[in-house]
Amino acid sequence: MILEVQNLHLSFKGVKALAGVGFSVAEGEFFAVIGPNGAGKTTLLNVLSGVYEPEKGEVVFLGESLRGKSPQARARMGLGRTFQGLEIFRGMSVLENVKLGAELALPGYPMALPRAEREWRLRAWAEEVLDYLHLSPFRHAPAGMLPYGLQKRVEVARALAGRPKLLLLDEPMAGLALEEKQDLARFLLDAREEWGVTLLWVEHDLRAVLELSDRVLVLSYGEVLYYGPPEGVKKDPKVVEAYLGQG
Amino acid sequence: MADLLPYLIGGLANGALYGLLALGFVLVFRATSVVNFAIGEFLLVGAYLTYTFALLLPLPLAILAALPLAFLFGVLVERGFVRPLLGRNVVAVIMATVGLAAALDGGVQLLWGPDLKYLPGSLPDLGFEAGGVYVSSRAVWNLLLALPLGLGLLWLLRKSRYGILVRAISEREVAALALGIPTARILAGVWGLSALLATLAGALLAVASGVGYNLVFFGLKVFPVAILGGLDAVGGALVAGFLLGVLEALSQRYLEAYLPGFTEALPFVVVLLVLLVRPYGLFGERQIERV
Repeated sequence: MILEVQNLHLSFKGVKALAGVGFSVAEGEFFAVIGPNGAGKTTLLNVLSGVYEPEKGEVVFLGESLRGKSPQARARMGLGRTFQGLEIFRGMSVLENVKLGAELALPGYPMALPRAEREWRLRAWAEEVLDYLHLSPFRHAPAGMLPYGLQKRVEVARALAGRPKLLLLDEPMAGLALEEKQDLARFLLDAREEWGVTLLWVEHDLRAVLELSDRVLVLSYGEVLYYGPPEGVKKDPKVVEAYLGQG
Repeated sequence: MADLLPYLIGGLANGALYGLLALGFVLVFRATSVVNFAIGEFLLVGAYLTYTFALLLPLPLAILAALPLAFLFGVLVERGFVRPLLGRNVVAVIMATVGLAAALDGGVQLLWGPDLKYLPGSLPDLGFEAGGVYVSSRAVWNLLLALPLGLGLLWLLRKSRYGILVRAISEREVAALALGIPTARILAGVWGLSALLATLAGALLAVASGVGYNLVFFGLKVFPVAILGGLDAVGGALVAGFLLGVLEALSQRYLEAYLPGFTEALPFVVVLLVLLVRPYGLFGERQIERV
């Protein structure tokens, strides 16, 4: 297991955001977290990536407890992340964005290599990632000027450039057109195949989730409603009531 | 016209220092969104540090010795006053700088006394005459130190890895964290740089006219300069510094006879006028706020 999550509790001003969430993710898995708005999905990602410290419970990544570890330390351990909405560096070029991500992929980040070699390796690897995600033609464009779908892809490219072992994706498909969703799905599946990235994604697009994911965790009001293979999601009465019934 | 030139040269000399001070101020604002109300005190502390070293060392060495200490001072301010308030409302941090300013005002007077002090020794005289116009040593030194430092820093922010990291943090701090960028160390460096720039300005002022509490009032000019240039425009700060220096000189030459004391108010009048037309300053980026 690359990630083990045990009994997470976290509340904000008395409101329970996470109430005893536990699950585990196997290496190479495509793992989905779904649930209605306010279910605690983004909070869960924030706990995993170190933005919040849980009140109770444990997160074990690669066999090591993450308690007390800063977001940066977790990133250096191989925990990548993209964000709901967009968190790319809009003022920088696409290449600069991806190169910043690529620094994590260098051995002995940040300064162990001589300057010229570091530059060369960053550039070479960043170009490879850009090529992989079909972003090469836009490498010198200011990231903020690209259409929304491409900006989303830049964010994924920046995260993948860090060669994360586990990549957390927060609604990567939100706002994308069908074709863009298909492209992104293919990129993610290829990245898993090629670079051995394990994927944990929070997503609203239920069809995409059920089609792509190996296993699914359904949250509602900070509690686990369902945890298992995608085929079972629609058959689970609790899920149907809390989640599918609404939509 | 010939009698105007000395005024202009004096204006550029002052403007160079405004520019340095504003550069550090804007750098901190851009990277951390904190308006540092203690910037005048940074200059004051820097001037007194230079004075203290000048008692022991030749003046050029004293200035050189004060700069790293100033950097350390900036780093300590970040550690002590800014970082503990991280994640709170930015107004809380700004109020902390107001408190820090008051504490430093008192502390400086307590340590060094309230009277005006003159530096022992002076910088080598670089004044010269060209075409009947005398260029003062002060002007030469100010421009000689401020311009390369200011432009060098701009280059650093634009091109170097450090600059890119600063821009990354200032634009998207959460994303920077997720990329493993050591944000705390880099932001501390920004405060250090800001204090270093203020100290150089303070040292050059001290060389010209001594060290006393009134240096704080020079520091106050950083607000009109930074707002004029655009609070988020690092290069704009440098340009606006020179611009206000020259405008003050012109006012000194032409307006002071009719409106005594107007020059003191001039920077603020200019800022008000410019903001009417360009609300984000001359070089500021237009912010589109989504509500």
